[in-house]
Amino acid sequence: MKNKHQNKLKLFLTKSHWSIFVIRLVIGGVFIYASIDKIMHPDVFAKIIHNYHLLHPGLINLLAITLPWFELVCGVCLVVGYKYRGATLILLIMLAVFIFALSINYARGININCGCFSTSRSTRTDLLWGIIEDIILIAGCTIILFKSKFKKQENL
Amino acid sequence: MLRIIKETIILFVLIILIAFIANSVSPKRIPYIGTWYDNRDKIALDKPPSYDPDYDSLLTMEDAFYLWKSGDAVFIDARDKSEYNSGHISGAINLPFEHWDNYWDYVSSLITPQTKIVTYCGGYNCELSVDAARELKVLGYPNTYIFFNGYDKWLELNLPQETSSEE
Repeated sequence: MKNKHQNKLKLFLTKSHWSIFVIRLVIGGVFIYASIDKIMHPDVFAKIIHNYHLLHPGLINLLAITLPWFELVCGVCLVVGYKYRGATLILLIMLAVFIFALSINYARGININCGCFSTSRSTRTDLLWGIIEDIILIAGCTIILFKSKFKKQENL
Repeated sequence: MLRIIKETIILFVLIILIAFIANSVSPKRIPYIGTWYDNRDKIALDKPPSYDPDYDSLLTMEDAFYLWKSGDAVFIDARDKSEYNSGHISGAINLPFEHWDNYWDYVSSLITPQTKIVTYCGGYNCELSVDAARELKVLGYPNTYIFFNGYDKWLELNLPQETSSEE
């Protein structure tokens, strides 16, 4: 019994565990921060989604209502460690969709406000930079998913 | 893996519920189905992302310049005060769209419903000029035109600009 606790403590203190914890905090914090302005201004966020020229009109408000809450709840899950693997998977899928949407408009050559972190209409966004940010976040999410799976196997 | 998928499904349902409840009680709630027009095939380059050809009057660089030179139009810079202070088209007045009420009394004293008004901001994704022009039309100023991405175009040609000091 004592050995089991010692092993757990060792695992807790391993470098890998702490690095995952830090990645979770950073990614969770980024998504919590990104969600606040959108939750405060759903009407403006809906307009930003409309400007992407990608969605059927019937889906725009539904996405403007739900997407910021996905960011907030998943961000909180990552920070507090509650169902964080599921939250990470949701964020991975969302990030893949963001990259797809940004890339299409980058290729089209239209410069839209990405709406990534702010709904402010004066915000200038470089779509390419938005894509790079999302790729970095995807890398972080992938590390969380794989490492947590690895950790589980270590425990067995 | 199965556990992760299970967690994902639980979170997905939970978040949808939270979002719908939050929207129904929020003072800023929006309808679940909006009244957007289908713009999926209407992509216009060098035009505001939300450009509506039936409503928005866009100015070319040349038209904007000649209007400015003739002095027949009031140029309104719709960006924030700090951006306006660091550089704007000479003679333009500041009406930050996002702080409209703080500036409207002063700006409305300088224009009449017959005044030609040119709104501008900077950057291809800046729609403040579009929003400001639409608002001005609603308020009874029909001769309002949008100089889209105006400040950047103005800077590119090194046309007269000025800065303002903080008050």
